[in-house]
Amino acid sequence: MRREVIFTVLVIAIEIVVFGYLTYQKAYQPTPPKPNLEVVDSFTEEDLTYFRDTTKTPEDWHWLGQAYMAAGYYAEATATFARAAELMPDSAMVAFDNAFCLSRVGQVVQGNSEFQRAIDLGHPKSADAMYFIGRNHLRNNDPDNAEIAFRKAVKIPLAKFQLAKILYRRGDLDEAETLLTEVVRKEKGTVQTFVLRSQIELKRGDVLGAGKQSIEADSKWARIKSPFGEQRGRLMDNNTKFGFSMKAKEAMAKVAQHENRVAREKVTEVLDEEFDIFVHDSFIKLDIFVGRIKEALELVEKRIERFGPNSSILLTLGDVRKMRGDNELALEAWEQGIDINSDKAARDCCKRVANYYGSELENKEKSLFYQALGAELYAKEGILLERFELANQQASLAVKFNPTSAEAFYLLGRSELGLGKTEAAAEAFNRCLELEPTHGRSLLCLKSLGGNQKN
Amino acid sequence: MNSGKELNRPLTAVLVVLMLVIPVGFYFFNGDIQARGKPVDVERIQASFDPSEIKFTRESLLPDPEFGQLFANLKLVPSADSDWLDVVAADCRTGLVKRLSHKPDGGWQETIINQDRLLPGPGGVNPVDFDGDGDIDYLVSCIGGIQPTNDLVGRVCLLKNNDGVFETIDILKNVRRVTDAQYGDFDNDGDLDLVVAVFGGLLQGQILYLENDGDLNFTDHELMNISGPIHVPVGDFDNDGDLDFAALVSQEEEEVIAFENPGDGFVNAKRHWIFSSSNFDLGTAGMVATDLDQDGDQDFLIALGDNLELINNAAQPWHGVKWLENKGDWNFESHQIASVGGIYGVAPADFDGDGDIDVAAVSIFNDWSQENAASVVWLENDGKQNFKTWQVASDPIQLSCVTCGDINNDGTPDIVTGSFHFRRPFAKFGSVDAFLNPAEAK
Repeated sequence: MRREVIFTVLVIAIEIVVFGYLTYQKAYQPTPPKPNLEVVDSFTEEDLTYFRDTTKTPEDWHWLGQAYMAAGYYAEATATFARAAELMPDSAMVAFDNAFCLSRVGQVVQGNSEFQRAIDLGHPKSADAMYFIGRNHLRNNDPDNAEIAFRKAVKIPLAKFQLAKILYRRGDLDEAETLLTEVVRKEKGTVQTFVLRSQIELKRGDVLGAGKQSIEADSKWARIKSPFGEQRGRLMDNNTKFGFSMKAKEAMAKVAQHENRVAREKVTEVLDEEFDIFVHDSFIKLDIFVGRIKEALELVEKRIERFGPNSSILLTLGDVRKMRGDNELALEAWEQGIDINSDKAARDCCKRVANYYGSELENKEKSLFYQALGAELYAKEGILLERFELANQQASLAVKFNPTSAEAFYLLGRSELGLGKTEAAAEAFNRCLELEPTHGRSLLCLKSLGGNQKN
Repeated sequence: MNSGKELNRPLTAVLVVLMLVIPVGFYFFNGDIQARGKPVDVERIQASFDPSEIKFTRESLLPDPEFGQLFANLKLVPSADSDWLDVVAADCRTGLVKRLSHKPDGGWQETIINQDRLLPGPGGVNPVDFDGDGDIDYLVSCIGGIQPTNDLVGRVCLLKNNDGVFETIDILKNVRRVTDAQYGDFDNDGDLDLVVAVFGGLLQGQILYLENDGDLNFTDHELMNISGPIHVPVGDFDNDGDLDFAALVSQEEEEVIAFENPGDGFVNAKRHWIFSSSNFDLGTAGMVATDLDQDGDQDFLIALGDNLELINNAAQPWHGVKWLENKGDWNFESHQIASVGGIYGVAPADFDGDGDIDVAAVSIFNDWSQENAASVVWLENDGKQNFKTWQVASDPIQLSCVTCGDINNDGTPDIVTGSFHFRRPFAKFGSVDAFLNPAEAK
């Protein structure tokens, strides 16, 4: 045999050995874990199976970890992220996600070393990672190390708030208050700051001071911005990129876009798979929109059967019954809606009932009663939203329509208080207490004004 | 020789082509090679336990449901017309309080107590003769519905028994979600006052003391503005002869604050922080007072297992049951007596009839992706307050509440559970189920 033949055969043999070995190595690499997909819907099952079967690159492993975590397979997600971290040891993103997932299953020590690795690798949210390290130390009942971490993450207002809370619990009330003041400078009007202030005052024995903070806290809605909220948002976002949530989102989008035929198909497909309250609600809207009132009524009744009554669904039930001409049944549903909750939907039920009594039954007295009740609910909402002008306007209407309602006078007082009119507020609280001498919130507000109840 | 050379030429050409094709082919097909190795190892939390040596048998008190039920609280009351115990259940889904009684011919029958009005998410129910007329009324705390909201949807209602017909009376409204209301004559004036846990919505919760002024008029005193009060058990915790109460505060606090009654109610009550965890994700979900070590003072059992921060919950290693041992003078020592994921309800009883107090516990958020994950366990007390966890059931799943008592009149305490099933997996549904303790367990 000629030398070149021998040489070529030799090269081929070496190639076969080398590439064979590489193929073997690749073919027998660890595979992603298999979660128990029997506990999820078939859309999610299908997508997760596909993701798992097509996981090859390190990036695929990273995504699969995120998908598993979004679907609630935390144990599988931590194992998947760990493999992604092996394949991409320099990725700060993978380290961060791995850390977050480890923390979710309570593996706080391992979580913290991964957060630290993310910081060392230059993760753009290093301060957030440090905040999470602090939280994990707290979960490990180690407030001292938590304090060190929060001090390092102090540019995050919530880290500063956590520090204040640690100090409050330790009994260092002055420093806790100083930190709280710094938090308030950046995150004005946040509910946690008032609640913690109230607790500090209580620990100091200043019940009145605590009460004042409590009244302030009552109408606050804003929370201190949380790094956890951002991660939760990411998780929710990932959750809608596949499986059931993606299908549900698409279906609801079609309803919103009034693509009625496609919307109906998609909504039905989703609901056949799993009863989802939000998709079901959008199906009700769709049926009402296209005038399928009988079907809408059936859906509303099914919704009540599955999730029970509340003022919102009772409002819809009343509306649908009214559309069908069942006026008395509509009235019954709206009245139940008023009875069961005191929220926005209850307020709308009040409007419907007041209108019905006024225009259809010509019962002015009852109509005024429900107008007053509606105005009370409106005023309440205005106070909770710190829209005191609106609250004042509505509370004034409420006392005009129903001058025997203690609650209406309380709301009038609260709105006056919000507008800084302390004398008018005190007068309204006193009127409330004349009607209901044990009205605790009026008593508290009056005390906070430094006033006494009129005899 | 020439012919040999000529023969080698095509062979060489083929070999050269092959030599080039192998690496090129590898380059192109490398990406398509499917990994077939072992799956990476997954570390899971322990979700199942040794099967109970006491063989409890399941009996459903309501027909098998087709979808998740939302029972938030259960109590046992003596039946009005027999020697049996009835089960009273707060059904958060339907807004109804239901009484389940033995039918004379076997099985159970359901009676709706609040026939006059629907309740906004009844979350707690307490049987009590509130007006002192000799019959049982019901005190109900309402969370407003199952969706969390910051609106003022909470209520405390009294289902007043007027000769067997119940009238629903609002005692407290215009507050945020209420999770518990307990009663007692705290100011020693002969009528029943209330303490109320307003869990709150966003972050505004309250601990309230409602002083009874007569004729169902109450003066409400805010004792504390704090997020997440969940239960407020009442008892004489310092053995001084008057009723105190303790508040389990969950959410971002995870502590138990006891209110010491100076003898005239709680307006000037002294507060004692008897348990405090820096783990703000501890997941406290419920608390009952009981003398677990039978040393003559009231201890507390705490259920740990709430985990609703994300769309999907995860069982945590610190979930389970804690015992707060009353050491006297408002000092309590905390002991973890079981580690089970997602525990939401606990109840004491002597299941094995050995004279010490055991504990039943139910799980709402165990790792249900594991086939045999426990939903009902009992903790066997060895008499020295060391506990062994026994698994009673893995079906139904997602249980929120438990109570214990002898509901089949065989002399042994049974376990009654309530299902609160609103998350995946949508299988293994329950409603109100009993796990009957065989008479041999005595």
